[in-house]
Amino acid sequence: MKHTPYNARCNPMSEFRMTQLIKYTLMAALALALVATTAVAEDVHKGFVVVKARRVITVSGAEFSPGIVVIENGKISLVGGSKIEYPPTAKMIDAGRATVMPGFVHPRTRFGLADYRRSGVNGDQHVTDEVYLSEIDFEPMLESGYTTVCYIPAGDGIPGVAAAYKTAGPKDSPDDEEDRLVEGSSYLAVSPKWGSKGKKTLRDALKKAEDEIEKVKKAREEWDKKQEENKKKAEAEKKKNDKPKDEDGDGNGEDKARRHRRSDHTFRVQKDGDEEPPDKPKNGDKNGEKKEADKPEEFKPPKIDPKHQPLVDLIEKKEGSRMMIRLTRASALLHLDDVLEQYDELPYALYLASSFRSDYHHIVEQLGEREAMVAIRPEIRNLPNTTFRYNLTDRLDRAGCTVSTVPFADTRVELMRVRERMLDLMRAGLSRKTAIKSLTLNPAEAIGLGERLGSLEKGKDGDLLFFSGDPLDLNSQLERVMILGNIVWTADKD
Amino acid sequence: MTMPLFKSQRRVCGCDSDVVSRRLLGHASRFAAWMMAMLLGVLVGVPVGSNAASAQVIESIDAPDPKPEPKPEEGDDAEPDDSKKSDKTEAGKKEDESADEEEDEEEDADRYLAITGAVIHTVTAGDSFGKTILTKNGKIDQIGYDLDIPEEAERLDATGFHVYPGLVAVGSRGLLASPPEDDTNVYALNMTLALAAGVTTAVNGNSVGKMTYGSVDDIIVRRELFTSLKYSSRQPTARRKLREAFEKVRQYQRDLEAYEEEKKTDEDAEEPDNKWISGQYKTCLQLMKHEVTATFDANDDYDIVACCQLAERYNFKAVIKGATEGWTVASQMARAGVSAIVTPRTTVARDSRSNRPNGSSIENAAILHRHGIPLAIVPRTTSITLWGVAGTDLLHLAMEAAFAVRGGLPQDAAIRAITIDAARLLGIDHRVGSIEVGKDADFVITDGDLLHYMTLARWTIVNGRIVYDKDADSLFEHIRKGGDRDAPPPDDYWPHRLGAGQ
Repeated sequence: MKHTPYNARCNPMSEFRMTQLIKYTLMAALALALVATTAVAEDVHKGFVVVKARRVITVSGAEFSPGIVVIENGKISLVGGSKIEYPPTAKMIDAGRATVMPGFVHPRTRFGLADYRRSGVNGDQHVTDEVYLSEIDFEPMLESGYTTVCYIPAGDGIPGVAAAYKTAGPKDSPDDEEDRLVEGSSYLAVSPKWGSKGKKTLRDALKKAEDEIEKVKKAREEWDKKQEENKKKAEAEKKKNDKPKDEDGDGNGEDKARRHRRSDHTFRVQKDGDEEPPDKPKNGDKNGEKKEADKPEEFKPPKIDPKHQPLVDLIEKKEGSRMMIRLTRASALLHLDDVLEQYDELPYALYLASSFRSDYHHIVEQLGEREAMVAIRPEIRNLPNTTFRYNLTDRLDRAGCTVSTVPFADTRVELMRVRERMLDLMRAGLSRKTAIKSLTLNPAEAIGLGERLGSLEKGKDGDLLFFSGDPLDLNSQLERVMILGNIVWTADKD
Repeated sequence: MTMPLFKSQRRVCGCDSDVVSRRLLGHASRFAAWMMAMLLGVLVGVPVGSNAASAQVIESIDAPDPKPEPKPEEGDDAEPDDSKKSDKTEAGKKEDESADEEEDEEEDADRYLAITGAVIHTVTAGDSFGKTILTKNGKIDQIGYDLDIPEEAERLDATGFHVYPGLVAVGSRGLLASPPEDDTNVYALNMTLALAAGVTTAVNGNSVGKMTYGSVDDIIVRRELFTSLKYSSRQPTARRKLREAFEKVRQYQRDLEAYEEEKKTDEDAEEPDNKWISGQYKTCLQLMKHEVTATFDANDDYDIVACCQLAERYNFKAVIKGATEGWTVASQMARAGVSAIVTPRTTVARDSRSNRPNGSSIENAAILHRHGIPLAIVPRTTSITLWGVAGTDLLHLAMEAAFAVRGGLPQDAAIRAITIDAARLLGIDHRVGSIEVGKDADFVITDGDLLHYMTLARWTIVNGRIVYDKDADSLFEHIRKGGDRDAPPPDDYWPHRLGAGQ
C-alpha cells in the first residue's frame, strides 16, 4: 500500500475527493438542468403526441409509409410521411413496424345495455339515460378496434335519440361520461314495424310534428300582429324616434337564430326538458340592458310536444339533426319514400336489418341512385329461394351507396370477428378501400360525425389503432388502441 | 305439376338486370328462343298456340284513328290569362312559362308502353288481331292499327301471344296487407306468383288492391266494398233481429216520406226521430238507399232463398257467396237480382233422404249463368298455397273458370266471371276488367287461350308496367320456353331454378 502524505491524510478535502465531489456536483447540476429543461419542454409541448409507424392508413387520403401522426391535445394536427416537423420534445410513440389506422366506429349498438324496448313515438327518450359507462366493460370493443360506439334506444316506432361515446377515457377519469360523450344526440332512431302499421306510425308522427310547427308559426304571427299594434299605439302616443323598432326586430331574429344554432354539445341541458331556459335568461338580460320598459312581454312559443321535438327539428332542418331508419325488407323503402315524399329531403341513414329472407337486392339500384348512407351486417346471403350467393355490401358500394358495416351482434365473438367478415366480403368482390371505409369513415358519416371521426385528418380525433401488420390480414393483431391521444388499451403479449 | 315445382322452387329475382348478372350464354339462348317464336308466328300467320276461338278477328272496337300524339307543349296551362295578369312583360312571361314546362317535363315525363302483334281479347268488345295497345301513364290510351307510337315508348312485341285484361280475384289472402297501401310487401314471392297466375287485382278484406310489384303507387282501387250480413237458418235470433231492423227502417222511410208530403201543407209538421239510426239500422238504411251492397254466405237452398227474399222485399243489392245449391233456386235468385260468387269445383253429394233437388256439381255455374245471374268465380282457397293436388288455390283462378266451362258455362262467360263481371260485382268495372280505352293498363299476356290447361302467363302488366316476365323470373322460366308448346321438357329442371345457369 502506498504511503499517503500527511497533508493528504489530515486534509479531508484531498485532491481525489475534490475531483469526485466536483464531478458529482457537476453531474447533479447537469441532471438538474436536464430535468429542468425537459420539464420546461414538456410544459411547452404538453399534449403533443407524435406517432411514428411503418405505415399510416389515413382512410380519407393517401397512405404514408413510413408515416407520422402528430396529435395535439387529443386532436390530430398533422399527418404525413417521415419528413414532417414536430416539436422535438413532444411525447414520442414509436410504433415500429406497426400499421396505424383510425379507430373503428360502431354506428348502432346496444352493447352492455339492458333489453328494454319501447314502442310508439318516443322522441323525448335519450339513450344517454340508459348508458352508465362504469357498468359496461368495454374491453371487447377495444380489443376488436372500436373506439367510438353509437348507442341506440331499442324498440319499435321511434324509440328515441342515439348517442355516441368513446370506448375508453383517459386514465385518471376512465368513466367520466362528459369526457367520453362524443355526441349526445347523434341521430333519431326510427324503427317502424314495416308490414304491421309501421308506415302509419311514421306518417302520423311526422304529421303531428308538422302540426306542432304550424302551431308555433301561428302563435308567432299572432304575437307579431299584437306587437305591431302595440308599437303603433306607442308611436302614436309618445312620438319617439323609431329606434326601439329596430332593436325589436333584431331581438327576434337573434332569438330564432340562437334556437337553431344551439350547439350539439349542449345536449345535456336540452335533454332535461327545459327547452326554453337557456334562451330566456339571455333574452331577459338583453332586454334588461337595453329597454326594459318598452318590451314588457316577449314571445312565448307554445310548448312543442317533446315526443315529437326531434321530428320538428328534422323538418325545420335544424343543423345536426338526422335519422337512422331501420328497414326490414325491400318494400319498406318504397313505403318509406311514400311517407317522406312530401318532406323536403330529411337527412337519414338506413339500417338494412338482416333476416332469413332479406330481399334488399331489389332496391340496390334505387339506393345507389340517391347515394344513400346504408348500414348493414357484413354478410353474404343467398338470394331468397335460391342458392345464389349475393354480396349485398359490394353491390351497394358499386351502386354508389356509402356503406357502413355493423357487427352481427353485440357479443365479444362477433365484435372480434368483424375483420374476418370483411375479408369474406373482400374475397367475394368488395374493394379493400370500401372494406376499411365501411368500418371507419362511413359509419362516422352515417352517425353525423364525419367531421370528427373516421379518418386521419387534421382536426379529427386522435383515435388510432396499432396493428402488427395490415389490418385486413388475419395474421396481424391489434397491439394498441389510442383514444384522443392516450393509449387506452394494450394487447397482452403472452 | 305443381308439387315438384314448388318444393324445389328457386326464385332468382324479379328483374334480372340489377340482380343477377346472367351469363351471355343465357341471353343468347333466350334470344334464340324468342326469335324462333317470332319467326314461327310470322310464317304460320296464326299466333302460336292459338285456338279456333282466338284466331277469328272481330272488328268490334272502334279503332281510334292513328293520330299524332298531342304535343305536350301546347297544354291548357300554356294559354295565359292575359287579361287578368298583365304586370309582367310579355317576354318575361314567356320565359317563365317555358322554364316551367321544361321542369314539368323533366319531373314527370309521360310513360308509354306499346304492346304489338298480339291477339287482343277485350272481353267486352270481342277479339282482334294485329292491333296495338298503347298505354300512357298506366291507362289504356289507344287501341288500333298502325298507331303512332311515341319514340320514348317501351315496346313489347307480343307476336304470337294473347292479351287478356288482368284477372280479378274476388277474394285473396296473403297478397295484400290491410290497408293495402300501407304495409303490402310489393316484392313478396306471393305477389309474383299471383302475377304469374294472371291476377292483377284482388280483394283483401273489404278493399280491392292491385299487384303493383315493385311500386307502392296506386295500390288501392276501392275501399269498403261490401257490408257482410248474417242471415242463416242456424241463427234464427239474428235472423229475426235483422228482419226487424229492416222493417223498422222501412217504417222510418215511410214516415219520412209522409213528413215531406205533410210539410208542403203544414209547416209545423214533426220530422220523424232519426237519432236511433246507427249500427245495424244504419247499415239497413244504406242498403235500402243502394249506397252499399250486402254479402251473404249461403250455400243451402233454403238459406239462399231466404236471403233472396230479404233482398227482394227490402230492395237492396246483394251478393251470395258460395251458392253451391244455387242451381236449385236459380230462378228465385235471378228474380231477386242477386249476384253470386261461386267455386265451380265445389261438389256436394246429393242427400238421398231429401225429397228436393240438392247437392252441387260442376254444372252449378252454368245453370246460374243460364238464369242470368251475374257470376264471379273464385278458387276454393283464396291464398297461394302449396297443398291441394289439382291446384285449388289462387294460382289456378283461370283453371277454376275452365272447370266451369267443363260444366257447361260458355267460354266467354267464364272469362267474364274472372274479369269484367268480377269487377262489376266489386264496383270497379270502370277501371279494370276489360281492355278499353281509358281503363287501367292491366293485362295478362299468355302463350295460349286463357282457360287452356297448358297456358302460362308470359308477361303480366299492371298500371302500364311490366311486373312479371316469365323469362326473367325463374319460377316457370324453364317450362315451354318462348311459349313453344312442343318444346321438349328441360333435362335439368333443378339447376335452372338454383340459379346455376345465371
